[in-house]
Amino acid sequence: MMRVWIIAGVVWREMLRRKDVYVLLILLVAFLITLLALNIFGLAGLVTYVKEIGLLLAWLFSWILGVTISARQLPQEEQRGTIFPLLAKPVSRGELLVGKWLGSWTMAAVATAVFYAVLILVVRLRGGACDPVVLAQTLTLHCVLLGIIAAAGILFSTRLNADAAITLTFVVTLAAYLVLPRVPTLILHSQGFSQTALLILYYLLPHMELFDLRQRLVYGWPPVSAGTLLLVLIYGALITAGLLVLGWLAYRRKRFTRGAIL
Amino acid sequence: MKARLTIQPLRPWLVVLVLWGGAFALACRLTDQAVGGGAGLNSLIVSLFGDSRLAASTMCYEAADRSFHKGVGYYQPRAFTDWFSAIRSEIVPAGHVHLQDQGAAEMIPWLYFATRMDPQNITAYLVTVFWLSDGMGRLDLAEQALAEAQAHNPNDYRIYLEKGRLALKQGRLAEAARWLDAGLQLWPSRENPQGDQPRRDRAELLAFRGLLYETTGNLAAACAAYQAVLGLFPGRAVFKDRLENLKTTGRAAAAPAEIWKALLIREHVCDRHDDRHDQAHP
Repeated sequence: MMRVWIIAGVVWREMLRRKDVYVLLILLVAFLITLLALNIFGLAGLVTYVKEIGLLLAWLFSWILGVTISARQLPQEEQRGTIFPLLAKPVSRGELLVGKWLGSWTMAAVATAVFYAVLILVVRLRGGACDPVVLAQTLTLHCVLLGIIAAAGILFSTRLNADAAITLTFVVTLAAYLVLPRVPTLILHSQGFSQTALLILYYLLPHMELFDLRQRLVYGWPPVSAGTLLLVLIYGALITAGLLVLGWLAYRRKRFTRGAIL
Repeated sequence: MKARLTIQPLRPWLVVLVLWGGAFALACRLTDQAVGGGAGLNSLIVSLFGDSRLAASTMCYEAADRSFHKGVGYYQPRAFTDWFSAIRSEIVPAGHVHLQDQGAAEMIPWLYFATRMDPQNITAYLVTVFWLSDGMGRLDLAEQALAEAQAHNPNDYRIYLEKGRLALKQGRLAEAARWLDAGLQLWPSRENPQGDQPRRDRAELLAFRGLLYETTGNLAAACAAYQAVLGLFPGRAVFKDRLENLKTTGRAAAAPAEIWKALLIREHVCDRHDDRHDQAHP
């Protein structure tokens, strides 16, 4: 386990050096300041739209971070050739994979927590408020979702280069988030093969929408019951574990040839 | 070398020409902004989004509706329910609820974005004006929004109908009459004259105008306006009786102000019809 944490630490140090998180944080602050500066038909003290758009941006930026950090970890090591000294050390491929995932996930999750903190600060300054319990639930489920996204990024990067893995992770995760909740309705208007294909996708891809509590937070709805929250957390953990196992199966016997990589 | 020699004496002139061109372009831009009022922002939005801004405007309008329903989206029929659907129904807010009173202002930003994306989105302007005036009682802000809508849509009768309504509410009768006349002249603008809403709007314009004619003692014009209302909607008993009274006795039972005050009261009618509609409105 120690080796996993060391690898995760390396991911953290690299990400802090790359400054992606800072750039996205500055962008979020700039967007929020722009939103606050708008003169909306002369009305003052409006806060719900700041919460809603701010949360949307926090989701967007954390999604970008989760995908880009995770999907470039393994291809980067291979491209630089640092995979050879790394695997020469007493580190198994499974540990490497989990370490990379843990580093990517925790980095994206901490950045997301910072995004939320900035947003809540802005909302408070504007005179608004958020239910702390719903806020905690929203952030928790969002972090679990980032774990799934990071695992998907790691899975695709085991067999693809960084650009392809990033693109594929974005496509699959966004499609899962946007399309899957609509499948039970789309089924009504489809027949034959397309109906079967939709059902396969529905049960194959992870249901990202279950981790989205934004509307509850923005519009002051009561918290989700503990039982439902627990079920969603277990579901998220299972999906993450499943994706990591698939990644490990794809990576454990992968052969590296220095000439081919360089 | 030869080319350099021939261009060199022209350099000062070239510099002057470029500066003049720049100054001309700047002057054109400044003129455009001064006349259009926010035209710079609009042209920026057009350059950035192209025609997709129209779709974005519709999305913002729908977001306003969702915001008014406290984050609850439209009900969608489902072919099946399973574990995922069951969990999702626990996660996603459900029920038929509305933002109340001053809280309704929280959806105005989405209408604002809808009008920024498409300044020709009259519906978004009209809904904004409704909530500012009838919902929140901020007639001053409603007038500002209407002035902006008019700058972008000077030929749309609906703007003038709203302006007439607002002027009537504030007792500015002469001004109201001017706006209503303008509205009647511009009707049906780009709308279908046979459509239900444009016909209702025309009837409303005529009714308000007829009542204002009565206040100035122009009974013949008032009668003509009521006749036109009945031409559009023969069943409107209020105006049928009023017309009869004016023709026979020269005066109606209720004062014109009483009628227009009743006509000016508007309430929001929710157009969502789904299987959760019967749930209580909090």
